Amino acid sequence: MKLLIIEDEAKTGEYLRKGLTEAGFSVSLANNGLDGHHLAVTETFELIILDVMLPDIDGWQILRSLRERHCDTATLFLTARDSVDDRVKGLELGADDYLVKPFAFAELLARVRTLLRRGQPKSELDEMHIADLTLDLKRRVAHRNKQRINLTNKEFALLELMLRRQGEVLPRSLIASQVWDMNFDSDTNVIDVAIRRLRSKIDDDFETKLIHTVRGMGYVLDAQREI
Amino acid sequence: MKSDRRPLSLALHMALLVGLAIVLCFIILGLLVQRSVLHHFNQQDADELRVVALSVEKAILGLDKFTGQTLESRLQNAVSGHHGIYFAVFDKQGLPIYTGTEPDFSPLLNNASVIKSIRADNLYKWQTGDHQYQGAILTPESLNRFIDGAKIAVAVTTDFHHDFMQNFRKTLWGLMLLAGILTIAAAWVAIRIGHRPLHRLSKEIQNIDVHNLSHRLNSDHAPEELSELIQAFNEMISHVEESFQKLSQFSADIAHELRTPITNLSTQTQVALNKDRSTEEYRDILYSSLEEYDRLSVMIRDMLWLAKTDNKQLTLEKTSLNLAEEIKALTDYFEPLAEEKQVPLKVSGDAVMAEVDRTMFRRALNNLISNAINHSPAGADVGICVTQQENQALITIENGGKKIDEKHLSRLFDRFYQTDPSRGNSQREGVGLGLAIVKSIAELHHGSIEVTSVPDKTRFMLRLPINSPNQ
Repeated sequence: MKLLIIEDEAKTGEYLRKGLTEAGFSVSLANNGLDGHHLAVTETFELIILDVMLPDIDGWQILRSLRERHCDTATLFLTARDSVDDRVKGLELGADDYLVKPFAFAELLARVRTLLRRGQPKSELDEMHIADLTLDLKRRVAHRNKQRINLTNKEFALLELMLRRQGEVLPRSLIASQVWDMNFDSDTNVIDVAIRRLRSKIDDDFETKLIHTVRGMGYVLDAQREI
Repeated sequence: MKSDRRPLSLALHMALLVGLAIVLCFIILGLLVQRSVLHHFNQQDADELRVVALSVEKAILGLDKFTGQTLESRLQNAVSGHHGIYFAVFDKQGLPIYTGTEPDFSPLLNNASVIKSIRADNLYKWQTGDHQYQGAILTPESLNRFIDGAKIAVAVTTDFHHDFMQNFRKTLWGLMLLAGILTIAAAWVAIRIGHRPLHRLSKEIQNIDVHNLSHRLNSDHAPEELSELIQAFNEMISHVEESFQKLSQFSADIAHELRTPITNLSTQTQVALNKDRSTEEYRDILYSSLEEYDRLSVMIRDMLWLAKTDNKQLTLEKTSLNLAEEIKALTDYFEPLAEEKQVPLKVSGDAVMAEVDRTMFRRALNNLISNAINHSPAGADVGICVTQQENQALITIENGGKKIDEKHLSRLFDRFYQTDPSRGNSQREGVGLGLAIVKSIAELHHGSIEVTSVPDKTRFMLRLPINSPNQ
């Protein structure tokens, strides 16, 4: 998976490159708009992460130019200005998603993965598995080691989300948004409690723990994680 | 074409208007006086001419009785005691039978038509040399038996009237000019004096700056017209003062709130770097830093959000929502937390439809419910109720626990305000912006938020218009 980051702020660019490389992507970094634009049109990328405020040609122009060349590479733009106009402008120009600075890295990673997944045919699964946990999406029941686990609707939705994105660290805000449709950053520990309850149902009685807390970032569903 | 020129001063403007009005009145008055004087003179002239004409007629008729007198001598004596009156008698062909010394009657004879009786408005006017006359020609039938078709011409010199009128006119217009200038000047002075309170006021206002925003203008000695202005100005200054204080307080709070986590981070990092540590320890320190960073970025984001609502940069995306359903979604969300804290959520009320921004509504309710759960002692309910009151939706959120002191209540919605000044709890409880955000959301919707508190019952009341007025 090849990604292109166009970001003029050296530190930001460097940590994005490092973080995304470590997450398993092959990352190119451009420190200005011209280089970025050149790379974007000469090479093929799966995703472009684009800063709006660039010293030479700004992100909007790059995006417009790419779309004019019928280059449909998924684009996620980063902006420090969180105004509705900016967002609307970006989305109208054909950006696929946006993230307002400052953002949590886990949030960025989650969005990147969502965008990359978008291109792939959506698999309509009837069942999902991890280790000995099975989720029957049709009948909406969960089993672990052949034992039936009773889950509430929301718990089921939460587990489904974590299974669909297993191995990814899911930030609390993303969980709140996807499961409860709370599209704002709430600073309560509601998500922690909900995860704790889910954990008590699927993990407490079993040797292998599946849900892991990534301190300061969020939660991840993984069969072989050691933290 | 739009003129960029500054308009005339108020005083000058008004003085000119007053002066103009007065001068106009004088002009009309003067014209009327002039007209009536002229009319009076004409009337007088006509009367005299009538008398003279009659005397002449009688003199000619008298030829019957007093024989021996010539027509000429009779006519010479016919008129006496009339100054500036002349007459002449002509025969049918216009040849003179008798003429006095003055004036030359030929213009009258040639141009004027014969009239039956003399009136002020049918006199013929003419000029010979330097003199002006007016007169008439009569042909009394009674004279036919003496002189067939005899014409009596009478005239009066109007030089005297003319001179008088000319002088009168000069005096009149001179007086008027003087009166006009005087009234304009007087009006200007009067208005200047009248404006003095205004000047005083602007001097007083000039002296107000950020250091004495508490100064209020005194309306006791100001004229009635200004007291409204003074009141409005005082109100504005009150708002400015209030906002200014809030802003100062806000800046101070921001500095304080930012300093604490940054000091923590810096100290912690310095200590960490003091000696070599195990990977485990480094990781712990990084995690701890991460938590502080998160806190900081949440705070910055909330502050930016509030700043944007202050600057009216946020636009609401309103949709028609069933508030009861929204509340249900929120209580679903909070259910695990509430159960863990043993504070049952009790929802009641009606299905109220209202036009609100969904995300903002959820955010406001999220903050209120989260507060209620956090401050409620275990075992006490948190009550959430939505009802419709006329054209408003009323959402009440009640929780048990300690009474909030009066002195805190009014400031509860202020930014960074926390009832516990020590702010010791390191729980993820935010930085005291939650209720300020609720208030902003309420205001963005043209609604309101209130709080009351008695022991074991603290109640927040959020009111939102059902059909929001257009923004």
